[in-house]
Amino acid sequence: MQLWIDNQKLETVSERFENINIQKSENFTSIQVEKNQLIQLLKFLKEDLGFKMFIDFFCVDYPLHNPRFQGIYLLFNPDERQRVAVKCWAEGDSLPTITSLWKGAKWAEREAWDMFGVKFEGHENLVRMFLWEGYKYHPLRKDFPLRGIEDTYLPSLNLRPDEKPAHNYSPYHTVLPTMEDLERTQKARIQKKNQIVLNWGPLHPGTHGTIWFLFDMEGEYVKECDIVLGQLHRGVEKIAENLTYTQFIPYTDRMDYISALCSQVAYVNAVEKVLGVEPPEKAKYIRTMMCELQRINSHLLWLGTFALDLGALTIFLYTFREREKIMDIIEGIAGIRLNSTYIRIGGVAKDLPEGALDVITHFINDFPEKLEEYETILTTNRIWLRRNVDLGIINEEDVYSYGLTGVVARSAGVPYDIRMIQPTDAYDRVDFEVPLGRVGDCYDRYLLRMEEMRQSLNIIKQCVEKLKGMEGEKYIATDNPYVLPTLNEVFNSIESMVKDFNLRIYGEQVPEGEVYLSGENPRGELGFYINSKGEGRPYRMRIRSGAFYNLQIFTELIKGRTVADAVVLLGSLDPVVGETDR
Amino acid sequence: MAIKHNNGIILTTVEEVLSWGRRNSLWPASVGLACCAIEMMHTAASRFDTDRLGIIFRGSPRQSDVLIVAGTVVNKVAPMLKLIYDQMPDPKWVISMGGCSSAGGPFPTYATLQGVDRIIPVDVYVPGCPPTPQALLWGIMELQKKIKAKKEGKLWEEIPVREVPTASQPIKEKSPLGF
Repeated sequence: MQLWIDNQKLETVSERFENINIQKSENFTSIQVEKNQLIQLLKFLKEDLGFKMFIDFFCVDYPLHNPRFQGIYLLFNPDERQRVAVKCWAEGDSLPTITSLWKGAKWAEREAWDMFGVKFEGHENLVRMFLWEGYKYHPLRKDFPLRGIEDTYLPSLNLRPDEKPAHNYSPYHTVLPTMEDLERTQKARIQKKNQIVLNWGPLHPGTHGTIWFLFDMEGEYVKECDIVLGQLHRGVEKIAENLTYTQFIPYTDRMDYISALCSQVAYVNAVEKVLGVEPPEKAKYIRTMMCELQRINSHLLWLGTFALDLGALTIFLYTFREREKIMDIIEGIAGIRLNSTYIRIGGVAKDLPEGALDVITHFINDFPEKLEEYETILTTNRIWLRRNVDLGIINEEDVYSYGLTGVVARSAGVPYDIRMIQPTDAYDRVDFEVPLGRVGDCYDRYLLRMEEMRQSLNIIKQCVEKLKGMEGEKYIATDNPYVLPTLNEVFNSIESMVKDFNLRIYGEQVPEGEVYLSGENPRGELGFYINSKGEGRPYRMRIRSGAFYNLQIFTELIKGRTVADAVVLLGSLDPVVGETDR
Repeated sequence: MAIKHNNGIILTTVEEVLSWGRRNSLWPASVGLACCAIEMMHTAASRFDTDRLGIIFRGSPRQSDVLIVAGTVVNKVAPMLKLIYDQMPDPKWVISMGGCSSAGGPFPTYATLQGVDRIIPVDVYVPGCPPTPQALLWGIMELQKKIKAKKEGKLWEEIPVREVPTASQPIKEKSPLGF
């Protein structure tokens, strides 16, 4: 199912604007526009054609082209469920800022400046997004090496005189920031206007990883806020350009490590789309079932840590008890507990082991009781209510302006669920509800996530029923030339062995083209934009992270609230740093 | 261990008592960086329950004596991690949890620190991506053995390099320490 802009709207655009170039393909539809008409076109799309939701902005580097960088804007029409991409060449390495149209573009533009060195005219504070002030390079440019410039002498402190170091050990390392650099980074973000600038994080247990908050405080109240990200920026998008499509699957796990399987499914679906691979029916049901298991797992971790942040330690221990059960199920099926690289292009890595469905059935029969237990403790708890209700209210306007997705968008009453809008795998064949919030506060988001767990159980139940009748069916479409053969096939037929060798060495020769496909992660829309030049490796891979955009609204919502509210608000937005920083 | 007399008197040294106390009440600073932090939380939570080993996660580095580096250390966070290490009172130990903090792991990139031992000395490396809670418990027990060995008057340099068994090179004989 495709969601790109229809021809009628494209005609309206081409009548209105001259000098535009419309590229329409099955997987991606874009409108290329001159730089001086960009803002007018975006405004027209937003106000007249209903593309009011901001999805993503990113750049692509073409070193041999002049101008060198191309900015791509992704927009969504929530009423008619259509997407459109707008491309614009950055003449003079700069683009006009679109923060006046969509506030959510602020961080995306900072990221483009950080990674590519593209400037934005009129941006309110164009600073480094992930790296620190004083860093000399723009790492996602094509002429920057993956390993960076290793110019600092930084030997291992553990190397003994008699020890032989590992084969790839080098005492030289890429440059590390000094504390002064970090202080400069902080100063560039926020200027002290009130009494004190309070640092929260990056290595604070309450910040869900390594997010670094800066609060400009007046007494106990936060007046201004900014967030420094990049304390887990590992360069995943750069890695993707250097690996084959199959090799990148483990990295999708390590981005959003709490919902590894959902990320894998979102990525693999995008690759399958551009390759034209159709996974077998059984694989689709397995994927859906595993995704929903992982969703429960992720929400349980959220509930445990959220309650822990608010002082309810018992819930943390309870939810981790249940998490261990799901982890055991995943370990039994995929072989690995947390970062299970289970999904493959064209299917799944292994068939369901004997008894897997019985264990899952047992779990889904057992789990509603536990869920009840949590709700008994929390839902009507006075402390819980007083800390959650009417905090961080998000309205529909915010959702479109900031590009909020997932539970955060649904709490504001916007029915934005990729599982419904663009069902992949077996989501169009299972029956489930999308719960929506009324107020849009933290309490609504809590209730939604609890309800989502119930819906996930429902989906798993349907998948288990279906999978019971599919025993012995194929779980990976190895007939397709792009799909890696199973181990058994490799050992028993020479053709499969040659195919396996070719695919592993040269990668999947993806036909030239672009694709944007997203999946519903527990944290929001996780989208993959893949730009292929017909090679075994992607030319550019952009990962649209739900948590990155969801976190952005934190700076607005916390204004006028206390620091104690910041803990609750952050917990209810539920970011994962591996995904926001990539 | 201490010498026991049958009339109820235990003779020991101050050093020995301190070492016994230290290795049985390792308080880690609760610093989580990436995926390994989730497994670290699992180690602390209901099933594996590190409390029974005297391991209680502390919120402040001033109160802790073990730093479990759980997750990818990137260049930007490295000075802050070093600051946390410097804030911890002596004696202190570091467990490098997982492939990323041990040697950069699957991220040989411009932004990642290729091994946390380039900024702080590491006592125990726990392999895995991420290591299971069992593996982390193994690492903690290795650290306890190391603290015990150090009490016996050996300098850190004198403790022999431990061979790690791999599939291609299994350990042939027992190491002198009897691990």
